[in-house]
Amino acid sequence: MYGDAADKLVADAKRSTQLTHLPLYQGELIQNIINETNDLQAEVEHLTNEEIVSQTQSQGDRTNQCQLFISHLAMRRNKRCLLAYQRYRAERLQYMSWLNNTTGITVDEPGAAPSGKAADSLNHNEEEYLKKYNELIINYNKEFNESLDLTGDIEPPKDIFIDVRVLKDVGEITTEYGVFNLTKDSQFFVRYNDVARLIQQGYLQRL
Amino acid sequence: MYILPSNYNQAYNHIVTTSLTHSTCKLVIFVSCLDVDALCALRILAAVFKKKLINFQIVPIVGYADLATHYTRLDADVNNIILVGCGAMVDLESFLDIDVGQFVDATRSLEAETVLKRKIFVIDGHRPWNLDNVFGSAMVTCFDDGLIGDLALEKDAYNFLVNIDDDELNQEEEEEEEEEEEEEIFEIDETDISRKRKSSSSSPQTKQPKTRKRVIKDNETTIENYYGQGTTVVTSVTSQVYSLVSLIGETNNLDNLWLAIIGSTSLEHQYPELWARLADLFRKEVRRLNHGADEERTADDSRLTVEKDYNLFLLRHWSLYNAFYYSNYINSKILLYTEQGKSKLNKIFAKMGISLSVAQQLWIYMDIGIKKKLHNIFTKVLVNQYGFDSLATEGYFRSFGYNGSVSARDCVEAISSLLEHEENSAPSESDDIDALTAEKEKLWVANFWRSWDALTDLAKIRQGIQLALFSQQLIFQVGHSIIEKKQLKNLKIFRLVVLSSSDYHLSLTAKNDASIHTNTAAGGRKFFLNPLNLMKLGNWLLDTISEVDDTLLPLVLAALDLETDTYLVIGMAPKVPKRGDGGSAALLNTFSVAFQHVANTTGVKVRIDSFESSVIEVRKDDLAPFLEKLTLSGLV
Repeated sequence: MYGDAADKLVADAKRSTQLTHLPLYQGELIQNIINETNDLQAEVEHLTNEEIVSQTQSQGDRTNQCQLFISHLAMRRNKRCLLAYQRYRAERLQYMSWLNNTTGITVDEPGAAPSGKAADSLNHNEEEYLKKYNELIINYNKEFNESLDLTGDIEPPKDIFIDVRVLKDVGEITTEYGVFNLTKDSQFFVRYNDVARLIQQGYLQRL
Repeated sequence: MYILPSNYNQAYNHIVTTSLTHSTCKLVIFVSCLDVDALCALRILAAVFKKKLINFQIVPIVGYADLATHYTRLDADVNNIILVGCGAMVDLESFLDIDVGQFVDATRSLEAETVLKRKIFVIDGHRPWNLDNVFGSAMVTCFDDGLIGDLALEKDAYNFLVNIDDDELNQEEEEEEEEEEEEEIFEIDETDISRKRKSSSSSPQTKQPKTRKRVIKDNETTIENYYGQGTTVVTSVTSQVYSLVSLIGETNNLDNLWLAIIGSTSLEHQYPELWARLADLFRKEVRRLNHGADEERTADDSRLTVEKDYNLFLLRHWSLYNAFYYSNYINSKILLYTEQGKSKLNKIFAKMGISLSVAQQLWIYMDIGIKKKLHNIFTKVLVNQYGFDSLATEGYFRSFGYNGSVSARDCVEAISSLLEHEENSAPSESDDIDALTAEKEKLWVANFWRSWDALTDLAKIRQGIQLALFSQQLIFQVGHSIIEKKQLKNLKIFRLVVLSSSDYHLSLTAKNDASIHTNTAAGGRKFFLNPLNLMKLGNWLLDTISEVDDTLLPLVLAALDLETDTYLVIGMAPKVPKRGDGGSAALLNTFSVAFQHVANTTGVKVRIDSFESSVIEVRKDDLAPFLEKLTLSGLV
């Protein structure tokens, strides 16, 4: 049926809103949809062929007109689904880049763990998009350089010190006052400011 | 070094003053992973340090090897290390390869005394102490339970020998050129908990007065006797921590007391005399803190109360019948694993005037009239007619507002079940023993945090209780089958049970409870590979045996891990049957010494890593020779 593949794509996008990470880019499915759309286009061209048009019009048969209409609808629907999918992905990427701003998600930087995972599942256009978007954020941030950090947490902190559990080995981190060594599977009671970013990035879990 | 109970606050003050900096983390707490007591103690400590805004790191550790690796990874500027629930039995300085000289604080040291930059505090109930920690090391501070004072003899012997050692070593160096000889020297084996002697050849030199040699010998025997007497747990870590917090005036909230009670209760079953000693103190504390509390129930009610409780298993969380059936106490009293036992249980219910259909209702739906009369019925029938005189005990209950209340005993069962149960135990592909062990230990750490979270979360405690019901059923099932199949062998000096994997196929009716994952049931295969679970089974067996057999033989349990081809072996001290007063001293566990001796004298490959020194791992093929040697050694 026309539109089945597109429907699958949208359903997939909807499911993945529940996930914490961005799933793999559905390249194959998208290619299928495009192929389908191309087929439809070929059919439309065939139907609008003058010979056929004049033939059917003279007989008063409106089947072709109907088919033409359906094909158009199917094509438009495919297009909308593709756009919706791409928009959803783009929003996720933007969200990620606000969270991870300082580390900067580029594919050739495996250091950032959660973004690294996402980077694997991006297609190269998305990578480009992410890189550019990151640059935009950084440039925009420069205007407020010293007075304001746009990428910080919006919620005001309730406690100065918090409990955090280390989910992934971080190694040594440098804070305002000194140096920490965050080893996996241990729990720390530390200043919120020192680790806020690491929590955002998923290295630490706040209790 | 050691510190008396009345001076705990000095240790605390030291920690606070030397750790109070916001620049970095100067306080690290290592905690024994599979230990409810240590977990609770740590929570109290953590709350206290948090109040002081001290940065600290908590590292759960699974065994000695883990402790050593984590220790080496510490930052250089860590000033204080607290060991909770572990470390009392090893010579920490040499085990962790510490060069004390490195940590001398030159700026603050006076000529007379050196001040160390780093200190290690040991809060642990395992005994015997390693005497190097207590009397020797300047860096290690042991929290005394008030019993170190009794070790005067050992102290003298230790000091004497340490001095001798130095002298003789010097002598030896001098005489080296003249003739090669070996003096008796003590060597501290790094992986070894006890000390053992190097080969001794008597010196041809007769110049040394014989008396001197005898004195040395005497002192050595004193020390060896101390180490050789067997291991036990003399105090709960939580009670030690609680006395610390009471010295610094942090005992005005119920949370600390509640945690202390849970922690100490966790040792009740295995070390009843320990609990008996502490119960009085806790009762007083509860009374003190409850003074003036409203009788009326409110939404934020978090009262602690002392109420009547029974030696029945999780009575409030399933049916009365099951609570009877799955109670270790009842089981050992009426020999439930026999047919007569089962009919006897029904008879008991008949005598109590409770119909079986009522008894099988869930506790919360049971007739309130019966519940109210229950205590009278119990005293009249069970105590007077059947002589179950230690059935009724005291229990501590914490209420959580309108969400209900939970007893300390139930809480212990829940928390320990959370520590035991391996969630998402996916079969792993790797067949490397080290990798598998590491994986297992990782799960233990994850469980540790799960239990940590559960301590303050009633919903999670309830989840744990479901798990506890499950494991108790499993233990009973396996226990019954062990006795039915006569897998319990009475050897000359100990009893032996070997579980090979086929022994515990589960026939439990699957419960439609979301909290018990199906892979928990599938994990039944691995269930007894957790030392805590195996120990519970051992406890069950000991309880049961103690009622039918008067000879006090200790028990050795071995469970096969098919994946790593090793046996998990634990040795347990025999139990004296529960009597009315319950005040019989627990017998010391002599397996730690014996296991070590056998491992050292034979070529058997054994891994001794657990903080519970009588828990070891043996390769599959080595089990038979190991047990044989154990029998022959006569050390148990």
